[in-house]
Amino acid sequence: MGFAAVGAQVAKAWTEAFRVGWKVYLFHLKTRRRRNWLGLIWVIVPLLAALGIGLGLQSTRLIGQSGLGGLPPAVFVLTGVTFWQVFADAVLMPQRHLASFQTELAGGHMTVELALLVGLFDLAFAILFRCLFLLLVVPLLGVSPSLSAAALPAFLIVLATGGLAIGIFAALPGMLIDDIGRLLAVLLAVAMFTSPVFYRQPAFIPDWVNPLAPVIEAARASATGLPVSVVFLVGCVVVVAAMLVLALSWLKSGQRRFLSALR
Amino acid sequence: MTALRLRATDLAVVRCANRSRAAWYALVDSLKSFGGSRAAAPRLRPGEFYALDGIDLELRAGEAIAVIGENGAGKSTLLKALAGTLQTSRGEIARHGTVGAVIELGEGLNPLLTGRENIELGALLKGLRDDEALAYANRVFVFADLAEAIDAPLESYSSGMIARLSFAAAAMTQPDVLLIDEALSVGDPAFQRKCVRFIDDFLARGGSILLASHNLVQVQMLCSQAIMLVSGKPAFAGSATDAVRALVERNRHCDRPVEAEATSLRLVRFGDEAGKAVTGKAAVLEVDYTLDHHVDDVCWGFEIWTADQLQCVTTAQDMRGRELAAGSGTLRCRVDRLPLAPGTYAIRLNIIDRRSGTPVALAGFAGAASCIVVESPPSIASNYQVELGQLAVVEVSWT
Repeated sequence: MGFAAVGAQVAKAWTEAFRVGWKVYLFHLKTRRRRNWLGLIWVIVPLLAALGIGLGLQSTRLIGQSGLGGLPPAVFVLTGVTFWQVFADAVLMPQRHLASFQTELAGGHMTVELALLVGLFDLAFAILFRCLFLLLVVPLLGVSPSLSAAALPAFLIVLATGGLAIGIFAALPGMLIDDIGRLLAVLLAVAMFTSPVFYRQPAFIPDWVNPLAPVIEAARASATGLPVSVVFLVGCVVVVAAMLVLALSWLKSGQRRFLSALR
Repeated sequence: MTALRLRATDLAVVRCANRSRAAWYALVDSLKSFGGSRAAAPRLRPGEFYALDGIDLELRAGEAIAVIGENGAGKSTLLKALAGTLQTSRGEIARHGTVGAVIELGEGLNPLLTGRENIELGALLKGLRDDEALAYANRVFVFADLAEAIDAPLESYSSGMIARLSFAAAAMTQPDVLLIDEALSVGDPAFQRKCVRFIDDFLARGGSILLASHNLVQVQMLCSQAIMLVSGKPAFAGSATDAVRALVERNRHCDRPVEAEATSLRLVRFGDEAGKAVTGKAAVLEVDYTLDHHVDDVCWGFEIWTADQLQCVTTAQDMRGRELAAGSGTLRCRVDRLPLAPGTYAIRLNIIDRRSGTPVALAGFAGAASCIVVESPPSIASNYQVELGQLAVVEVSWT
């Protein structure tokens, strides 16, 4: 079988998976709508909260612009929270979705991959929405984006993919042991306070302790008109792609064992 | 011989009763496998047990095989393994054709979606094309016959309605093999009859069924063969009636005669020449007695009690006054057609003074009674009698 034939088969499989995943996602939204009063408003609530906190800090002048790389506190906090939220949502998404489809998965009615695909639609829409929100609000706060904003989607995808890979590793054992979810929440909280979300990363914390910090800084730079390093971006893409490959291999090798323990 | 649909060879499933341990084992095994090390030979670790062990099974087109056993015997585990939803620890499963399963009713249905939406979602998850999905959904709606409830959220359904929808959803996929776990024992009687008729048609069309059930009559009516599981191992495989008999025999409380108390009355035979008592057949009761003095105007008889001696089934007392000389002798009576259902019974014997009703000799009243075992060749009727714990068999002629 030639490359073209293999490519056609892969394309067909992806198209079919996308078709099914999209329709299942719509059913999932329908279910969620029946459990929520506010629906999509929950996507914007953290952003509005972050904006409020940033504006509050700005008005109190507790944190000066000099400590934030010359950015107004509102912009710094809004961008920091947005990028952090993208990463955290991606980390938590696999476990949340495997948990919400647990009966379908246990009964063999749905595959783990499909459950994650449905979650990816969720994640993709949230990223898109946040990206647009940032690009609309940041200029209103007095910071003009530049051409470097073109790298913003790429950085968001890097953050989401890295988070997703970590989340996939945790999700399989998390289906059986609730401690995994709690541990993730604690680790995320710790990681947030060592990341440049509300303030710049303290100098005494080297980058290797928190590899997320330079990514968030680079993403912030792209959203606020500062120059970004293409080499750094490419490096990030390579690293998260490798993480994702490892995570998917883990998913493939481990899912039957974990699902069997569930059934 | 018809086409092979499903074959399981030396199937084993190891499970762990403790969820935390199961998660730990899954994690360790997955990490080993992720690290590239090969799976070790199945060896039980602390907390693990064989939920299934050494199962061999062949299911052919048009054939229905029952899986019977007590709770926890491994029936559902076997069906889940055959459906592919449970990882096997050893053995092989070869599936020739599509497999549909109704294993846990309502599982996989979303309570927030309506019945119609659940079926549409199910069609999607089964990978059906749009036109196939539409045809499938229509078949399910017709079979489930839920009328306007089909557009109500599933959380408002009764368990019977969920059973209807679940069974219809699995059956209407038109698989080659249908695995059914207790699904026919729920729902209203009319729907159960509808399911049974569907199964008859399904088998006639060449479908194959593996039915796990506690309804032993249904098992015998629908299935020609059966496998009985005991603690995950095959304890019997053969005709459905023989398997059901093996199961009910196993569940009997009193499974062997016990020694009667030492008395001057002793049961020496109950049954045919070989001492075998069979429902509906002639039986002879022989009782040896020893008396140290002559008695006159006595009568005798026997009482048949349930094995636990809580319920008297029947008595046979000859009320005529007789004389018995001192010494030993034998009392004998004949039952032309034994009306006892298959089972184990206790027999109490008596010789009493007819006028006063006082006992002259008793056996089985104060101490252990003699037990008799009434047999009946395995058949749907006799298995039903045993399963329900029937005591008597009434012979009737329908006109």
